[in-house]
Amino acid sequence: MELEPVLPHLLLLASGLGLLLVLPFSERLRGWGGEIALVLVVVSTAPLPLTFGVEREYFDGALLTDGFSAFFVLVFHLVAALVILGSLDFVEDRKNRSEYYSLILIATAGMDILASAAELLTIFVALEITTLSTYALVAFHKDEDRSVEAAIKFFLVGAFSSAILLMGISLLYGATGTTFLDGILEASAEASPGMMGLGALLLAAGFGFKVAAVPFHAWAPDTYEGAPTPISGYLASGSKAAGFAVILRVFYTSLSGVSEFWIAAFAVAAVLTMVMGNAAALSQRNFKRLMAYSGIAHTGYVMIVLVTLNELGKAAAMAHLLVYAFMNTGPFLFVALTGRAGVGERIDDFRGLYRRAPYMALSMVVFMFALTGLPPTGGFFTKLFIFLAAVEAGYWWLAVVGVVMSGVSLYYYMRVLKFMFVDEHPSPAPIEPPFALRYSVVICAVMTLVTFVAFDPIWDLVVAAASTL
Amino acid sequence: MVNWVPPGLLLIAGALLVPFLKGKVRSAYVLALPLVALANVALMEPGNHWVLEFIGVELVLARVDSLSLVFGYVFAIFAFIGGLYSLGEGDGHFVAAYVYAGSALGAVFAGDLISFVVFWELMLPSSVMLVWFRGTRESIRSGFRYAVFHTFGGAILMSGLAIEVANGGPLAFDQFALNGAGPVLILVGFLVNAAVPPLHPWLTDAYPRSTVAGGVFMCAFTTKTAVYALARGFPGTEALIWMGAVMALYGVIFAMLENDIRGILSYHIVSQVGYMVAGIGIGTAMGVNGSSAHAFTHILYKGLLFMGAGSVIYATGASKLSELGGLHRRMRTTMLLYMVGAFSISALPLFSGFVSKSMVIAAASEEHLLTPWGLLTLSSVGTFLSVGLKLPYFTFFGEDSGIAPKRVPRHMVAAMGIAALANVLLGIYPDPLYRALPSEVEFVPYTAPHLMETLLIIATTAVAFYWTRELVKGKPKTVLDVDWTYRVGTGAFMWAVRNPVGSFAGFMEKKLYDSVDGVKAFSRAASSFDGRAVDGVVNFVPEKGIKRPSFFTRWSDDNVVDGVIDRVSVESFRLGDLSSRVQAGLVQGYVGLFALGIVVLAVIAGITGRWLL
Amino acid sequence: MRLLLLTVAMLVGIDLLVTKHHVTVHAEEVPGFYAAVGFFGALLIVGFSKALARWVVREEDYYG
Repeated sequence: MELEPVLPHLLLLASGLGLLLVLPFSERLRGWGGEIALVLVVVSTAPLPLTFGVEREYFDGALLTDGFSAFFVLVFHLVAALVILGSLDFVEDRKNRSEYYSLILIATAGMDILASAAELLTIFVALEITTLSTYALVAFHKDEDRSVEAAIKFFLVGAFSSAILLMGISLLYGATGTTFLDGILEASAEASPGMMGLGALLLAAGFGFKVAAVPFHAWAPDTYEGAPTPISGYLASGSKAAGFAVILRVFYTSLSGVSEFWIAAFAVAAVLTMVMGNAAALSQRNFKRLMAYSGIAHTGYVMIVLVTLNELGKAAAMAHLLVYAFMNTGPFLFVALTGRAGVGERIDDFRGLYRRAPYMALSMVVFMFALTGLPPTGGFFTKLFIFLAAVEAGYWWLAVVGVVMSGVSLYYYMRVLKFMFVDEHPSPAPIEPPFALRYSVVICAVMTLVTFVAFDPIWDLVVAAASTL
Repeated sequence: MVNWVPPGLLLIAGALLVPFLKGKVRSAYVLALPLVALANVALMEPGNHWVLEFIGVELVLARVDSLSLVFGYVFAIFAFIGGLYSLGEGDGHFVAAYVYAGSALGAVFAGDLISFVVFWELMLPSSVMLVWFRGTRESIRSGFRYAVFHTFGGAILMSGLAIEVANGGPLAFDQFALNGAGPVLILVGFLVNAAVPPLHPWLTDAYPRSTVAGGVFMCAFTTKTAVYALARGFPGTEALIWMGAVMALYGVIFAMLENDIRGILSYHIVSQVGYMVAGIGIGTAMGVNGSSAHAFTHILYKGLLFMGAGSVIYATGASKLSELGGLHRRMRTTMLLYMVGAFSISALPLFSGFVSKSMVIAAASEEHLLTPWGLLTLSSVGTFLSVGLKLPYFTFFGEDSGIAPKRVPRHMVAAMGIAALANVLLGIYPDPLYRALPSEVEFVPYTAPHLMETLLIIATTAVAFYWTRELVKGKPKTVLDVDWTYRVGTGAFMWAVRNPVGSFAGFMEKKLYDSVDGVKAFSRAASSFDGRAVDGVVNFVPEKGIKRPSFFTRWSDDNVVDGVIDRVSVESFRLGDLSSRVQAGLVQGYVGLFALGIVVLAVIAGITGRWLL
Repeated sequence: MRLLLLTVAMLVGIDLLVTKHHVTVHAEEVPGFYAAVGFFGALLIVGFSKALARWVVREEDYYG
């Protein structure tokens, strides 16, 4: 068995487990837990370029690697690295921070496996690895009510969705006699339509929880608000990308044969997600809740491509998730930073931040522009391409909804900037942001801009990766 | 090999360096930057240059032809004048203003739709900063309305482009064939930026509330870039003639009601752009030439007028006619320079408007478009009436307001002087402008009938003003325009959201609250099951202290279920908005929504996919 | 004011002497046609805007 293509998965899993075994017992190493985790993520990403796009199968094809999985592994590792970097300051005074980092690594390894899984039970197990780790991460501030409450809600809804997912898997297994994605594709033509249809739908609901699609989204705002802020960012960017990785693989390949069974539900859910997310974001006062609803809205945009089912849409969605890793993690790290500096999480707490932390404020301009889909940020192209894909496939009305909703989103994104730049703070003392958090925010902002300037090579990479699915 | 760079990119990149400079170096730099851009425009040679390969499409950053050059020249010239005028502003203001001007330059030289849209969209964030830098509550709110309005406009434009390109249309930015949804949406997107009523309220709402120098920049670029885009994409579209003629008169009539001096000038942007839109709609060589020439002179004289009005606001702190008056002795230079602009916009002989506006009217006349011709002629009466008579009369003459104005800084006067000089020079010697126009047309503005016509109109309008001046004087009132629909309309929408919808949500919330008793009963049952069955099993295992499960269930019952409910009631009363009502924080509600969602989606998918019924 | 009226009279006088080659409407050939356009046009615009004012002009703090 040739292991090079799955080295990132294996290394990360081993690192996560290793940290869990080593750190609690070594006082000295624990102080460096975050730095070690960061190095481990980088090390486990290192084999990736060497084997990018190499196609191999493991366990009779239950696990495979291709350009698609490699691309998503890259995205997950980027998010994990950014979140760990942002957490260095955030959890430095916590006693149990060693579990924190190892849980992030294990969750990310679960996502890696998820992106490579080509069999429904493998997908389920990978999904559980990720989700269970994140439950614990959300409850990391276990002495804070908010954090525990968020985790309980996340856990209850998550458990429910796992059950739904399993039910979907068993229906598909019943209909086709296999749990392998390619086998399902072959057998789907003769399978019972009712079982196939309901199975596909329940599967979608189970994954829909992961990406916070309406109506499976309700946990997201509460959880993001209560979770430790870098973890909110991790859930919002990484976990969402993982959910879409598996959705794209399942619904673009194995269930595409019966697309007429589920496509209408996806169209309705996409519209609902875009409308609900944007509309609810309008009235938010807490920035993390606002970002949660904004994330729901972005789920809606990406869901468009599940309706269009074309090559352009697939690539556009992947590119969007890559840019999203920067433009969405950034604001969460920003609010982690301001929270650390004693500024609240409410939007009006950001008053006059331009004077108090100018570079952080400018980074936020970049993020807000990117999330709206304005140039000069990568978000401009990816959103545009998603809408183009909708038009190309004849679903121009989905593009219209998306465009109008982007217009709505401008309002609440700009409101954040308005508080930061226009309103004055009563005592505008400069904020001294913690070192690592500051750098993680700036990296996100710079990368959001770079994805605009260097969109050409990125797009080539994405198209190449998408074509292997 | 080309030895110049696209002036738009140059200006944008150069603008970003401004914050790193200080003092005299900074002043020299901000003045030199637009001049270097102007030199680059002058060096350009016709053809497509700066072609880049990007995501598989060709981006043309510099498509140079006579149409783009006319706009390019005047944009670069005006960036310099505006820069000189705003020398006293801060770094951020300069960055915003030059990025804005640079985007406009970039848009007129963009040869493909993608780079065009990028520059076009970049104008919005930079220009809205020019409103927000004013810093008053009014201008901040107005800036928001401006931003949202333009985002919708941009969204319409982009959807149109997406449809057009997805249908296999070319990526090059050339004339569109007006068939199907794509080109229509593109046209509407352009019309938003051209401020064609009823899509104009962003202009008359935001421009009077921008900073003094910001207004000067804004009056030049957004609408004129749209005029360029219309001239490039939709010349000869008949509907534009009518839109243009109507908007010319619309602006004039609303200007008569305005009280804010820059409000009057803003309505006259709408009116003047009407001439350009009409000229493009006529679409003949004379029509498009007239529009281009009028855009060129318009930027110069409207800029001058905004600078004059801005100086008054700067010096007195007042911007309303009802608060101004009698300033002619104390602000003589400003008044004289303003009057040059006023005479230019009113198309007096020897001033710039004379040589360009008449081209549009002549084009209408040549094509025997009687009604548009009449409307445009009537509008020119109204232009002189409010910009040439009403505004200066009640600002500089009329009842003395007794305001002692501050001194207007020398750089502002110099900028106005340069603009005034340019207006007079063009009025006397328009040949260079005519030679630069898109197509070669013989046009002689200075004929005896034309002179007589203008002079008669001017003189008799003055007579009419003299008799009606008490009627038209500025009153401290608000003029409602189309913006009423969204300023009051959104309020009504939010009321509906809060009241009928909100009270329904409140009702549902109470129902959920009641149903929680059932949940608690279930939870107690679970807890007793836990205590007996699970503990029973666990205790079987010889392990100490593993009574945790039952503890957990009790804890969740006492803390989570009760805690959540208490929290909910507190939260929803405190915030009291829609989101917190739907998002009640009840986890059983979330699961219920989840399950309900599955059922609804299954029914939808099942019926459309024919696997359910 | 008297000066202004005198100017108008003089201009109409000159207008008699000017021959017009290109006319859009025949009325343009009438001497002093544009004097009427200017005068009545201005009155028309003032009158129309005053009529409109009933509908669109409100107190200054209308929007609050």
